Order: sequence, then C-alpha cells, then structure tokens
Amino acid sequence: MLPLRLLPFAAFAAFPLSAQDLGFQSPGRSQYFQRLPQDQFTNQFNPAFGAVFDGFLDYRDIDGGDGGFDLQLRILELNVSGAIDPGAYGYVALVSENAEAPEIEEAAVVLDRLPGTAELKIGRFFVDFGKLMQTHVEELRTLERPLPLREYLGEELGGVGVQFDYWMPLNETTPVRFSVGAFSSLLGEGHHHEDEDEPEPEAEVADLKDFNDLSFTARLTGMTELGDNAILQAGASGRFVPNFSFAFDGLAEADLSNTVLGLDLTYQHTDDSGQKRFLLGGEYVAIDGDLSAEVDDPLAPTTLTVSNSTASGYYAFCDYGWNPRWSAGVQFARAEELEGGSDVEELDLYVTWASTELRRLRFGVTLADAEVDEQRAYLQFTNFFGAHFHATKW
Amino acid sequence: MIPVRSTLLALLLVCSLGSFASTAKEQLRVVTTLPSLADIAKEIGGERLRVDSIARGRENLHSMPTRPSALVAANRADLIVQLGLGLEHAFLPGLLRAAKNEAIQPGTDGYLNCAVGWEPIQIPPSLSRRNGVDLHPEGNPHYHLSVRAGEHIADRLLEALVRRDPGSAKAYRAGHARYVERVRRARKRWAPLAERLAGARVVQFHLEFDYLLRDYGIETIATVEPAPGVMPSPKDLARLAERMRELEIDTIVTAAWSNNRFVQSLADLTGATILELPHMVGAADGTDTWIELQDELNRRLAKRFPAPDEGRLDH
Repeated sequence: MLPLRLLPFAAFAAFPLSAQDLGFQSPGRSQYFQRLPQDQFTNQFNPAFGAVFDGFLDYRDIDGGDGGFDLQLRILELNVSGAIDPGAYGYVALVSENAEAPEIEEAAVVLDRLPGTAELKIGRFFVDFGKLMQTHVEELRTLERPLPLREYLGEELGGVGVQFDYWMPLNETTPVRFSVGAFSSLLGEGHHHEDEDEPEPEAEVADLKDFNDLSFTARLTGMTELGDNAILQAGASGRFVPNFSFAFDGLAEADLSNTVLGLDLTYQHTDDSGQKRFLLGGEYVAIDGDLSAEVDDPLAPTTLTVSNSTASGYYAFCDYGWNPRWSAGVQFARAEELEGGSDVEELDLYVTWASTELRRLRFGVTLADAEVDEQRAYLQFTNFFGAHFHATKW
Repeated sequence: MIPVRSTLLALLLVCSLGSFASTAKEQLRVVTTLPSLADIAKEIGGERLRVDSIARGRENLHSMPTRPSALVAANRADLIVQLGLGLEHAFLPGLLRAAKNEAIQPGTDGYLNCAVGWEPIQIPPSLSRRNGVDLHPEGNPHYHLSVRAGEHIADRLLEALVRRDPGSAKAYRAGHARYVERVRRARKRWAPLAERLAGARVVQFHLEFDYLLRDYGIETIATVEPAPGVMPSPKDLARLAERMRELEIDTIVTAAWSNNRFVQSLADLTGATILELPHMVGAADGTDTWIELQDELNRRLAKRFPAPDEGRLDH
C-alpha cells in the first residue's frame, strides 16, 4: 500500500505511458500530427477496407514437356480507401501473389478538387494505358492479361509517379478524356520470360535523372452513344521510357529508350433493361526502340548486344452477358515476341458465372500457339470482401 | 523514335480545344436519376427547366449502365435529383465523382435527396452480407411507386428549385400547386380500388412494389429471391411453391426486368399468374408521366383482382 502522500508522484510516473496511448500532445512534435483526430468518431470516418481472394485450378498440357494440374491462390489483395479531406482521397492495394510476401501494388492520393475536371494522382499506381492496364489481373475478362500487353508492358505495369487527368464534353453525348503521367520508372516485366532459366540482362533506370529522363504515359480517349443502347469508346495510349540501360555482370549499355503505343476500340450494346450486354473490342499495341539485350556467354560475358527494333500485336474479343450472372466470351491475341521476333498466338474461350457481384466462378480454356505450344483449362474463383476501389478511369 | 515531348504537347493542345466549347445556360439544368422524378420536375418547372433522366424507364436500377450522356449531363447540371434510400448507390456516387461538378455534390443546394421526410419501410434490423446482396440499410427505396409519393416528391423538388433558382420561385410554386392538385384528383380516382383489394396476397420477385401494394392493402407473403439480389435455387423455388399452394396464393408480381426464368418456373410449379407491373415512368407503353404510371398500375391491379361480378382474368 502506497502512503497517501506518494500517490501524486506515482500517478506522475505512470503518466507518460498512458499519455502516449491517449494521444497526449507535447511541444516539439509536428503541429500537423498533433492536430489529427485522437478518437475514432463513428466508423464512417474510417477508411473502407476490402479484400480480394482470387485463385484457380488449372490443367496445362505443354508440348514436349510435362503437363498436369495445379491449384493456386494467385492473388490475395487488401484494399484500403477513403477520403482524406474535402480535396483528396486515397487508396492502397496491398497484394500477395501465390501466398508470397505482400507488395504494395498501388498506394496513391488523388487531388480531385482542382479547377474544372482536373485531377492529380500522386503515388504508386497502375498506368493509364488502354482499357485494361489500369485493371488488376483478377478483374480481367480472362485469366491473364492479353498477350501483347503482357509482352510489351508486362503482366502489370505500375510505377511511382504523378498523373494529370482532365476530361471535357464535346457534345451532349461525347466526353473526351486525356491524361499525362510522369513516373520514376516504367520498365515492365515484359522483357523477361519467367520460364527461361538462363539469366538475362536487366533493364534499369537510374535513381537520379533529368526530368526528360523520367518515364511518361499519355492517353486520349472518347466515348459516344450510338442510338439508345450502344456506346462506342476509342482511345490512344503511349508509354515512353526515354533513358534506361541494360546491365549484366559488369557489362552495361546506357542511353537506351523505347516506346509503346496502343489504339483501342470498345463497343457495348445493352438491352433496354441493362441486363443483357454485348461487348466487342480490341487493341493494337506496338513497341519501338531498344527492346531486348543478350550476352555472348552468360557464364563469362564479354559483350552485351542490344536489339533495336519494332514489334507489334493485337487482341480482339467479344463477350456476351445474357443476364447479370452469366457471360461467355472469346478473345484472340497475336504478338511478335521481343526476343526472336516470332509470332505468338493465344485463343481464350470462357464462361463466367457470378452468383452475386461479389463472387465469381469462371471456366476457361487458353490455347497458345508459340515456340512451345500450350493448352490450358482452368477454373477460376474470385471473391470480393467488402469495399473495392482502385480509382480507375474510363 | 517517337518524340515524347512533342507528342504530349500535341495531345494537350488537341484536348484543350474542347474546353472552349460554349456552355451557354438559359434554363436550369436538372438531372434526375429516374424518369419519374424527371416528369414531376417538368410539371413544376415547365420551360424554365431542362430536365434529363439518367434511367430511361426499363432498366434494372440495381445494375444500371450509365451512359456517356449521363456524365456530360451531370457535369453541366445545376441540380441533381435522386430518389434516395440507397436506390442509386451502385451508380450515383461514381457518377458524381467522375462528373466533377462542385455545384451538385452532396451537401450543396444542387443536390436533392427526395427521401428526406419520407418514412421508409423494411429497414433491416441488422446488416450483413449473409442477409443478401442488394441490401438497403436505410429501408426499402422503391417508394416512388407509392400513390403517396407524387406529392412528397413534388414538395421536395419545389424546395430544391426555389433554393437553386429563387428568381423563379413564384412560377415554381404555381407549377407545384397545379401539379399537386392534379395528383390529389388522381388519388381520388385510385382510392376505391384499395377498398376492394384489401387482404389480397401475392408473391413478388423482389421487394420492389411494397409501397404500392401496401397502399392497396395487398400483402406480400414472400419473394422469389431468397434474399435481396440472390437468385433462387431449385430447392428455394420448390419450397416457395409449396408455401404458395398452402396459402392459396396465385399471383406473382414482377417488373419487366425481373420477369425471368425463375418467375416462370415458379408459375409453372404453382399455376400462379405472373402480374408484370411497370416499375417506373417509361417502363411500359402509356406511362410517360408519374400519374399515367399510377393509372397503369391501378388498371393492371384492377384487372388481376377484379370485383366479384367482373370475373377474373388469369392471363
């Protein structure tokens, strides 16, 4: 039992700990953080949390190689999103692929109360290229991103940067939007083929660089109504990497650049109820510049040779949803490989059943005609828990 | 090699040309989510308003596609009008964010939620995805189908129009008075049917016509959807069919958008008649106004539940 006269001292000694828990403010810390709310108000002031669980069971038959079944938890995504203040909102997408350590795929703040329709996005986010590169892989129509996008931009292409966005109406039924973005680096994963065991030169962008050496994106798109039930959207996109290098085991080739351009067209027809939907679309993608590099001997390299050329590809699809739950589609894609320049083709056929908008099951078949042909059948299951937000643009 | 900077500059130049497009305004631009709201706004404001509706009348409002014209209209609007109670939650917040029009954001005079002052029914006692998908935490939002809704919506619209355009307040009040008088006369026309239909029982596909059915004294025993937004399994349908037979319910109420194979299967199982009702202005021929919509609803209900001496039509 403490003597009564010692109680104030005992309380004082305990105070720093409880003060920290209660958000006690003391001089010398940032005035901004001291002014942050110290209680939780109601839950409506908290950001929205959501998660995505995406996996598949597949059977692959690889010509001249092994085939068999696999079961993968491909994506586990955690989303956080919410308003920051009246002039900005933010969102985060933390993704674990194949149950590996999670990575931040997107973490961006959007300043959305700029003059006119302007918006500024700052942080790490997916590039505004075509209709599909903003989209995370689990939200695509097909199991994988279309072949030319994978080959020239990567399975996913995000970077740390800033993007300016603006749209305007041309007439009562035709809005047009453009965006320009500047990124620290936008070298996708398309230069590498995961199945290849042999080490390859790595593409790199310098940490410190001139403004002109940042990577850039631009997109111009417009959509309009064709009658009461149809919408046509057309767009042009570009991704520019003006200065990068290839390096391998002490060898390097610098002052390299490449550019990817895309043209996309999407047509949508819905019935009067909005329940039945027909989609038809495609995208042409071309890459130009320094595309790949190789060394004479990976074990004892003496020269590194960069290939400067042009490659192109396209995909086209149609998708029919005969009610909000069921849809089926076909997609054909062709692309010239960056290394070797041979044509690769992919045909996707799929049927999707969404028991609700939060739960989806898809059966599909992918037939790949490449140097090594491959047939794949899969059953994909995707579940959305709670809020899901990525600030994607139309 | 494609020149990066000149490409970007050209893109900016081309796009900025559109910024100088004329947006001359003479009428107050009103955008409504439903054509029912658009009709009542036109009745009150007449030529002073240019009114556009996002929905056209036949859509399933739970999964409504928004068109480019809706984006443009919302961008240029002076007033946006929603029914509220979460009915438009799937498309309106995104549209408002994309439209970039400060004048119509929630909390401003340019944003009207017509549900203010309306007493909702069926507020869920608890909220969980276990309870369904198309859940409405604030209660059943389909109140525009109530015979009482015309006057309520007109009152909310009058308040908003006067706030937004006080210079035309006198004209709006006159338009409102004329419209409310017409609605009251119409309600006298609809009222006798309620006496006759009191106690009738139906099954609905979705809890969509509850306000209307309650106005007429009709009880909804169950829905074809086992939970809002969830499609029934064959077992669900069999169980519901059994219950309908036990309770001798022979009418399935549905909208055109939901008159689907599940409704047809249930009708086949039970021999019940499918009663398709228009769910908003424009959903059926002859429903170009809210009063015409109510006339048509009244006519179809009367036809399905005729007076004893009229004989009943099953199809």
